[in-house]
Amino acid sequence: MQIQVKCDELVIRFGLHAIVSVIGAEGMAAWFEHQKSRPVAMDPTRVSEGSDDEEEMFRCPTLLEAHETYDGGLSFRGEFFPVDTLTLSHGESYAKRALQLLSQICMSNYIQLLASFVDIFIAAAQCSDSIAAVTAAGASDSLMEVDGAAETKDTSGSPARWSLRDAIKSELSNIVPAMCQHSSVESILGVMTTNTDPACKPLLCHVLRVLYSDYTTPVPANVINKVKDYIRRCSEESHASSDASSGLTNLLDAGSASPVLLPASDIMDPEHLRLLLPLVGGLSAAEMQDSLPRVISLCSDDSEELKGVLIRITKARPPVMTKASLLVCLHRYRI
Amino acid sequence: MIQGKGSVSDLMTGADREGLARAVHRLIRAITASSTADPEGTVPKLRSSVSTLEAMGLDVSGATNQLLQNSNLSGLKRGSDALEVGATHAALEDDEDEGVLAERKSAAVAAIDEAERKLKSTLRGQADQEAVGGGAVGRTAGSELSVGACTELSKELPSLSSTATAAAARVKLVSTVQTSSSMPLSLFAATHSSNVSISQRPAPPSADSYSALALIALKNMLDSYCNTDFGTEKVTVVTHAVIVVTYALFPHYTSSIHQMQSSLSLLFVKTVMSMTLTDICSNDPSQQAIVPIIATLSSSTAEPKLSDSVPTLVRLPRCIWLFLGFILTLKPAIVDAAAATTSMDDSIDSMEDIRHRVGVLVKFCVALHREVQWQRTQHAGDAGLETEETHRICADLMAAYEATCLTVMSRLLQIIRWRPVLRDFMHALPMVPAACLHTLQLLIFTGSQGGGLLSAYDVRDKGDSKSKGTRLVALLTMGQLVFATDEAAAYTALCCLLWCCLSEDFELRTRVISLLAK
Repeated sequence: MQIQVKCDELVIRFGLHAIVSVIGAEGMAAWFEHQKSRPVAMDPTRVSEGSDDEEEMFRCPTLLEAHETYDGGLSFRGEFFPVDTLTLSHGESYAKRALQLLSQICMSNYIQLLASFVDIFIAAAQCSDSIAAVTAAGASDSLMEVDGAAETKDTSGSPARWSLRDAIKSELSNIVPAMCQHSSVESILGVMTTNTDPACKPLLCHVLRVLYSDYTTPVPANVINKVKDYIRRCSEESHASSDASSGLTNLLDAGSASPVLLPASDIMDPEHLRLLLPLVGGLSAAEMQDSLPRVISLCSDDSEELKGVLIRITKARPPVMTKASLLVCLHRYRI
Repeated sequence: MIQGKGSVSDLMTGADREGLARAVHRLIRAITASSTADPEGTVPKLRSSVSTLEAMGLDVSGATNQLLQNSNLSGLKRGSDALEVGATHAALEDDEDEGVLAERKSAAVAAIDEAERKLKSTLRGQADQEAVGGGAVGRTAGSELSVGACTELSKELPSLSSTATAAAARVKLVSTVQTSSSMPLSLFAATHSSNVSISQRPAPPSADSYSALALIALKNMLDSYCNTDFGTEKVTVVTHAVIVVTYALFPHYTSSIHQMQSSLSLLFVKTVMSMTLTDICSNDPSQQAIVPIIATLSSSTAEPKLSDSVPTLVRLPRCIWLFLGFILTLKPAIVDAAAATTSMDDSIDSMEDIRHRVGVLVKFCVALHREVQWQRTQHAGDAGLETEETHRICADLMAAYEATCLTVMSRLLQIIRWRPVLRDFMHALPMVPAACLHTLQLLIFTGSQGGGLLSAYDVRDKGDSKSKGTRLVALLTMGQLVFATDEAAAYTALCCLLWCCLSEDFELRTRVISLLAK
């Protein structure tokens, strides 16, 4: 058993080192600085989850540890190819291969690795920001593009539009449904909502969409509460850092030991509300009616997304609202 | 009154008839089994006598299962001659007068009695010789070997030069008593029972019969070796004995692993038995065989560094090579000469048999490795430092160990039916040589793809009918090595698999990731 644990740790560390080589030293340094600047906001529910014997025996390596122990592959008797030394097509392929190892291990054994995916996603975003800054400064000869926000060209002249973040999303799209076979959605979300960095919200939203891609899938109340709790923690962190969300503080019960979850109608931040869109089928009718104007306005630019929300409302099991009720509600709000 | 053949037999008692019939039958079987050439025409004479006796009403159809391959041909010849005379006299035509017939009747009976007496005395003397000499006479269908007296080995020791082998010139002679005291008794008995006494050995028999006997003896010995729970210290001795017997059975075995020679030499057994593992593994070029590992290794392989680090040939001590050759030789090639009537289904190795053989190989490798450790600790304890001599001995032993491991691994990979046991063999090794790891690593990238249909031989008692290919076998073996007791090798294997995860080869990458994820 100890050998198994040691092997798993080495395998995961190798996968993380490969990802570090993809992101590059500069990207990792930017991510590291960003992590240090952020206040630590841990999920309080995660403490109780991680107290079983199995987790005590095996502690999943994190991206931070991998960054600290990264030596270019020498400890594994080899050498990683820094992606920026490869052509863009090779770099994309290399990154996907590195992600594949982690995703398969995550799917089979270690759900905790989802937290590393979140970290990698954030690091890729930080790297993208740094590259964008460099590009804006006129360094148009950057060799690779980690994020797809900007378009660059490689030395061969072929368009390079690959994104590490897209690759992560793609991998999670494949493995998350499979993980639901042996893990609950709540546990998956518990791992993924540990990090309250705003940069990882798109990934969480993507995972929720994947999990509830079937409109008729019932959404348990505890899943909605999990997301709401994440939103609350993000809001608290945002409030602590910027002290700007004055309206939000009125709604928080500071003296209560248990956190008060906001109703969907009271969630002001569009990014936070967007997290609830895949879960509208699990909201109550009253909550849906209250939040319907904001939901509609949020999806006004994307007709497909709006269509999906309406279908979720009317075809969820049980349906949140009937079509007639929905039409009446829409009419009432003059939408 | 004319007395016919039946009347002659009527005069014999039942015991006489039975004894005569048994003796005749023995005689025929003995001569048929032990002599390929019959210059004196003994067999036709005997057959003629038997037909005559059968015509007289004697029942000679009852057969015994004893094989008398080492019969004294001259004694049997005399007995058969006497028998023929008696039978001929008894078969006289009946156109004589009664007085003459009565005389001839009594003469025939006397001749038959004399023939029977001679036969019995001949057989009795032969049995006495067997009891003293410990000959390789099978008692029951060749499976139970006569147990030779251990003291016979300590008798006359001819000069070493008579063996005409280079090994004999440099061996260290120790007494047989010492050897027997350091060896488990059952194994020691089995070891000696597999050989033929020099003093009692008849003229050279047919090669096949002796090869069959020798192989049966070795098989029995290996069986006893594997079924016995030896202590850790005795494993080396036991393995040594296995090598010794193998070497003794095939002393001129050089050209092909499937050929067997019949020249057994007790002297050779004795001289080689006195060798230690250190002597056997000494780096003497004259006593080493060059064993090919890889037949074709293209210089343009995908992994040039690996191909440089993988040896295509290894030097292996000849006796170890012979030992490996016997264990790794497929069963049909062995038993064909001994049992031509064996059905194909029976002659195919079962997986249990294969695992049994690999178990012997593992024990041998473990013994070699322990010998290295023992040499190091022993001499380190004496002088505190490893002397140059000790270093040389350990280097020789380690070289033999590594060459043995690589040879066995390559042979297990080459024989399709043996491939499933490769993982068990590698996993059980106390130390996995780097050359083995490099070879496996090379095979992961350049091995055969597999998927070909297996033959009926290979597919027996296996679920799948397609071969896995050396590539997949090497990959699975690497996966198994991750959990090997040799931590350095385990880490190397894991690193190899990890780098395969980043390979551009989709099939390889998928398989490795699947393997690691499991």
